[in-house]
Amino acid sequence: MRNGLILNSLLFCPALLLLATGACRPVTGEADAGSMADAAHVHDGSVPADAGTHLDAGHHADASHPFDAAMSHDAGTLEDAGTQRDAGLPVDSGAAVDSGTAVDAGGTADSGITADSGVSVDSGFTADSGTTADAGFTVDAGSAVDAAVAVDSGATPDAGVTAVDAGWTDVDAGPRRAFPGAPPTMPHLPYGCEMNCAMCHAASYPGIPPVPHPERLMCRQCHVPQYQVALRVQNTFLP
Amino acid sequence: MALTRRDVIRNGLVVVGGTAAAPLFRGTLQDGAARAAGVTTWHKAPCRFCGTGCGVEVGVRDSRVVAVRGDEQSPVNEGLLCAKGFGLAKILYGADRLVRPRIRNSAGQLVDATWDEALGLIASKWTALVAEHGRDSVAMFGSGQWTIPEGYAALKFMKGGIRTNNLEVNARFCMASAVVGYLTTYGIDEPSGCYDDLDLADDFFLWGSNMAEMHPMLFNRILRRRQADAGVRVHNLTTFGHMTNQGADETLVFKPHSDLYLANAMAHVLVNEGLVDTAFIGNHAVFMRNISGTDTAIDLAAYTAFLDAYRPGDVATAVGISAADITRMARLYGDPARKTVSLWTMGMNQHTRGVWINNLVHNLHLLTGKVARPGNGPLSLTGQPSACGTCREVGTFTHRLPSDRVVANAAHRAAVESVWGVPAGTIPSPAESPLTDAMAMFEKLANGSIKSVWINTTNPFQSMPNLDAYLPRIRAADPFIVVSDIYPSRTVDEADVILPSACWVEKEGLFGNTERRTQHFAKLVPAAGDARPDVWQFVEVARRMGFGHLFPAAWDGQLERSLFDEYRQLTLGTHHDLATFDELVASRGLRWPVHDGVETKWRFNAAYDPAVAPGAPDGIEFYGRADKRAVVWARPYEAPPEIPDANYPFWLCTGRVLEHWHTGTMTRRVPELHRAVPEAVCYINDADAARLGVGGGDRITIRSRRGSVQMRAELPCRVSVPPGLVYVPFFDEDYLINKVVLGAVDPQSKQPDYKKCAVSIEKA
Repeated sequence: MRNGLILNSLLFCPALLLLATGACRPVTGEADAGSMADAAHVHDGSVPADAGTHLDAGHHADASHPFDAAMSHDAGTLEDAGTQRDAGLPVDSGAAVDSGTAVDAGGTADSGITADSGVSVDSGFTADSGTTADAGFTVDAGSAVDAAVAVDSGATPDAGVTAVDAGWTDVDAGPRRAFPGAPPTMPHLPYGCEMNCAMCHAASYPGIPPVPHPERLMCRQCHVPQYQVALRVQNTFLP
Repeated sequence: MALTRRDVIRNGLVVVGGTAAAPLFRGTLQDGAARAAGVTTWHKAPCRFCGTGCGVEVGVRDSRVVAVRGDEQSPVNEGLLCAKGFGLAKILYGADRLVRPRIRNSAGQLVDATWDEALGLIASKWTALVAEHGRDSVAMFGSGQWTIPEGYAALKFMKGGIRTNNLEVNARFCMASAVVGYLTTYGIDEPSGCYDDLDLADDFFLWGSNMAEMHPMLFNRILRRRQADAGVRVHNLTTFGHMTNQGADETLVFKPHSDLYLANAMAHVLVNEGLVDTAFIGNHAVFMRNISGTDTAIDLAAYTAFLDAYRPGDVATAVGISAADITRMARLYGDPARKTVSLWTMGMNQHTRGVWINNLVHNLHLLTGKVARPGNGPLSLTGQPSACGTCREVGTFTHRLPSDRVVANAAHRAAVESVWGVPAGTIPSPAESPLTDAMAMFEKLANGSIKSVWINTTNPFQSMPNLDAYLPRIRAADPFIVVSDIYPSRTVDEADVILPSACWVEKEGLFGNTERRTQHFAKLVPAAGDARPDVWQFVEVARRMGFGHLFPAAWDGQLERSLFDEYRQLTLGTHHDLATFDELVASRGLRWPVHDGVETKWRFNAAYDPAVAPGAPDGIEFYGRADKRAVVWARPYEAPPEIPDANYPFWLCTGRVLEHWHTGTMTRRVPELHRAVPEAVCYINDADAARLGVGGGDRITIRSRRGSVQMRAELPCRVSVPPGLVYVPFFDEDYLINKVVLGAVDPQSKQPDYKKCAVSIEKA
């Protein structure tokens, strides 16, 4: 059983709990994000593999299936993509849900649009959505969407997610390479505390892009996550 | 064989990296770089960040840096780069670059000025201060980011021109203990071995080093070695968990400061289980102990008796590692069939007995004969690109002169005066101009005895410990503060004159890395705005103060070369011999001592180092000391000056993260790096957090006897701290954790301990 194998592998992983609760979610990116969406389709087995298709997480998710539950959040991410984050302003989460538009994940990054990519399901922050998180980071509207997805999928929001998950939201900040030849930034936040990318990004997991150099254990020495925060200082670099 | 090898190298066969393993990170990244449209030229340069000294290639188009990629020809990193290395491409382009000089006017406002006005003001102020208050009323504080010509010009200006020993560097904060450790053990600074050891060893012991984050490419080199040989093991000895855990075979968490017990307990096992290389010790080592303030030779029996207090079973509880584990690790050190490398960074150096713990780790290698031989040796990792090349080798610490010379030695001063062409007696002895280490310099600024300081290429008002004990008093004393930098910072905030500096490949320079490799880089792009190289700033002020004779070379692009050529004369024949400028321009760096264009991988070993006398037993000679022997030191445990108690129940450890470099002045202006780690957080153990009612993301107050900071708590994740310890990175100027940190220093190295003090934690 493919899913059984995956589950057996992932159950050792503390990140699984966070996967199950959607504490961290992938964000739309270029091709990789599309692939993550593909993975959801493959796992579900009932949805055509089309990264650009709007996925209904509620239908897709299997509450008893943590991996699928996590994948349902990918769908939610796609749903949110394209919403411009308005840093510093309270966000009406309901409006954000309405404004959510299915977009082509591959096109999002190329267009350079800052996507509203959702926030972790910290129940405290979800209830609080629309307020400004401390340290000046705004909890974006995606949190409300997350909460809905989490409830729909039967996953229990985890109140124990970390400060990073709660206050900093992942972002698709445009092209994922700083310049041609630079390593792409991570297309999603790290799952929980997981440092071992190959745990998921392995050749044995269909649809999830495997790490190109599995012999290199320390992916995050080069590939860094991107939280949705304002720059302190603009940078005038031109590739 | 060694001669053959040297001949091969001399005859021009390029030997890269010393291994046949495929270079890392070729493929997609390099292909992508090749696709970069419009990139016209690529040029070699060493990375601007840590002390690893990775080689990069800089893509330049239209006088701007447009890309950076790993230099496949660099023997250091063979094409690999970390996230910060790729971030180099953007460090020049933060929108708030300092681009013109500014002077604080009588109303306290900073106003734009010309270079002539700014430099003239500094020169006239300093001339007047020296005339009125003496030469020790002015000071310069620089860094391990100074290029070699910059450090050399600063040294000559301050000690040969103004004639003060008030020259000091931020390297005091990061590796002064390692310097004194090498000097007290071998009589000569810097490692015997090099990075090639990472390709050859069987056991890697990390003593308080989060190498995966702080020296990523070197850690990758270790992991590559491990993948090539199933017998290789990485042992991560640390006071808390971090990214290095993932790559290590085992992580053993010891209690803060108990490394003194741990290393002595391992030596106890070696001595009492017959694992000592007695022939090596007999030929190459002496035992010493400081008794009543005097370094005294002892014998093996006395050393063995000293170690009686460190039986593994007796210290295991204090260390927090079982006696079985301590014994097992000691036996690995003592296994003659295995090659062993020890690595360390701030964990050992930022320690009130940093020199002692350095000595104790050297002991393990001396007792087992595992030093100065390929695949064996203790290797101190440095954190700045030229901490070794400039601070240590040029000698920009208050007490030092080039090539391990010191101002306390009259012959050393005379040798330098001769090359400088200045009258005998120009360079002041410590009696004439007191030695002023970093913390002493800031104390003198606070008490008014130093009336002006030129701070250059560093950010001490964020990075120095116990900030609140100094900065308010410094403000009240109101010294004339000159700051040269590239971006605003906590230190620039305090400036009376701001000088905008050229950065990295906006100027020509040379850096010296951890493994004694000197690397040259050319000026590739014009400096931002009206920014100028630091070396030009020094020379121009010196000239205005009447010291132009010290810098005869014209400012025509030849100044760096002429300064290096002059400095190089001071390295020849000292066992620190540097390559020629042209050899360094043409190469990816060379490891000193360099003789006839050939670098030295393993010092003290006749097969590689021609300085070893013919006939030395087993071809090993520790020529740094007059008796040609290295010292096994009996160094006891000594309690730290502050330990957690009822009011301040937590240990606070501070440090860094992979994505940001030191105070974040550059990396926080690189969008990818800022978004990766937007702010510093305080990592706290789950159980402690639950007991305090603190959840992840909650704001907490971290309070010590010295000050407090409010920031967000983070539960164990990327960093996992044990109960009773919290960890805070210091890169974030919005959360000045150094207000909380204890300023206690090692009495020998004068390096502060940033890793251990007592704090309380409460929900804010």
